[in-house]
Amino acid sequence: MDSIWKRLLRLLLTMLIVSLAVFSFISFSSGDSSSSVLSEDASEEAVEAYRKAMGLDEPFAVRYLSFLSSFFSGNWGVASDGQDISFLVLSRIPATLSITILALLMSLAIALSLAFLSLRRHTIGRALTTAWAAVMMSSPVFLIAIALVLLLSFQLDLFPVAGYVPLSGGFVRSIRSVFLPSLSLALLHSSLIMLMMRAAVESNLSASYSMVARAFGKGFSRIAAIDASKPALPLLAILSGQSAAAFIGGSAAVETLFAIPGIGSLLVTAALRRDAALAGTLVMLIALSVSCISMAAEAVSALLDPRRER
Amino acid sequence: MRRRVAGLAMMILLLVFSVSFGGLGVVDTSLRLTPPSGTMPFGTDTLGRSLLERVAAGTGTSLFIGGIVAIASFALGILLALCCFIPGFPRRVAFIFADAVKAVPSIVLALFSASLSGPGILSLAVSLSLAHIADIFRTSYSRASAIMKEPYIDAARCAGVGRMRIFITHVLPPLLPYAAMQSVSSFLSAVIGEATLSFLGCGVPVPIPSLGSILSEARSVILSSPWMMFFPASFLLLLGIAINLIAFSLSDPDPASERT
Repeated sequence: MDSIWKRLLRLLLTMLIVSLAVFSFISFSSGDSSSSVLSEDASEEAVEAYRKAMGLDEPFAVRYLSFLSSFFSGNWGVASDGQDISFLVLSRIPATLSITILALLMSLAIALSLAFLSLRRHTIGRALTTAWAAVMMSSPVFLIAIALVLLLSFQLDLFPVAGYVPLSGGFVRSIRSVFLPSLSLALLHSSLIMLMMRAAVESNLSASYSMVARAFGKGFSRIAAIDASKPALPLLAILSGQSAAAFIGGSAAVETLFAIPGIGSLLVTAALRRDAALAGTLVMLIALSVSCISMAAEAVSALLDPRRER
Repeated sequence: MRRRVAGLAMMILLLVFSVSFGGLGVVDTSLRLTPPSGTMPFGTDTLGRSLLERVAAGTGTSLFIGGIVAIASFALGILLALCCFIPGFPRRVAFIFADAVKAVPSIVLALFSASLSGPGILSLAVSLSLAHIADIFRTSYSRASAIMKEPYIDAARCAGVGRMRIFITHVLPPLLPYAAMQSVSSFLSAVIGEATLSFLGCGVPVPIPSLGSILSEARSVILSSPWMMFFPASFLLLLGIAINLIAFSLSDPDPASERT
């Protein structure tokens, strides 16, 4: 285990690298945000004036350094369409956060129940769940989402096709609006968690302590649920952390598909508009939250596993 | 073993399909959105192009990008890992790179790096492979450093075997099965990543057919022309299943050393 300072230093370095990478990707690619913000037939002078106002005529190093200083001073500046970046980002967080939490809960519920139902080898349930997981893991998440929309929105009319209702608009309506995006993410991630957890519990079932438990007369399901699952909990913490990290920013396709104003769809906008400042800010924030999540997951997994504390 | 053969056979069939039917399709707006028929087996898209040709060519694009990513991440990941054992190689820099790449979801990185040097299949493939190069580098390095501590490496060194030769004969072979397994899964994630980026409009540039962009086109006409969704989606799924069959069969190359 590295010291906390070393970790923080690494985190800072990581944030600098990813922001520098994204900043330079956008800056050195052809075209800049002027072409997407101004209309097609904007005059040369208008483009020049826009570039000057946004600081796009400055050399790369100056732009990147001024971006960094504004990021770390807390005043994140304006996006290419003139909106305040900090306001823009803050307004996008609730949607992504509720999708992340709901998707994580759903994946854990689906994964754990399927893992325990299919614990016994050579059963139909096991073959079915394995095949199900394989199909889910072979398809992009937007395809799962489209299938869910066709089934649950068009056919059964259970959930809205698109759009986001904030929590202030009523709890049930808000959950309904993020239900399908979360479910499509959960179907993908639960498959991986299910396979890993099932393998872990299965190998624990053949461990000596499970045999002892059986010798004491405990039933199979009780051993599976308690004695064999407990040693798998640290793994579960790590897997949940990985999934949660992937939901932040990685849900761009789902958020765009369901027209949900979240961090992921903001990223897509930033990429399409070639907005370096917005993209840099977002990527730094994502790197920060991903690192925090993985540190938290590691901490939880160490807490759950007394052997890891030296 | 049977799975691997099935998966490989499916991949080859898909490749043959894409090579024999692939094409850009002829724009003919009078034929737009015609349902599947004898002349147009998959129907036509919103511009009246044959969906069969576009889906086949899109499958080819997916296979091409997946192949490049798999090969690049396999070769570069192992190369980078072995380079770290050469004295004077900036090992820390390599690890910082790997850390940084891991800190953002790969799709986010690809979203932006695809815009570098203009849109194109190759820049897309490079950006999609970054995360997997880092992955393979990391695991290969940790396995290789375990191998480097083995007594037979010392023995070889004492016998006067050069560093290059030790790498090639002793260190490299045991790394290959694991890296191969990871590169198969990088194939899948590249195919999915390309489809997702193209679906979002940030993937391969417009004239090149891609399953993702056909699917995003199909989204607006899904209720009236379901075939536009059905065929590209099924081929994407078939491709994914084929790769997963291979990946599952490789996933346990050496059960004895599972716990290292």
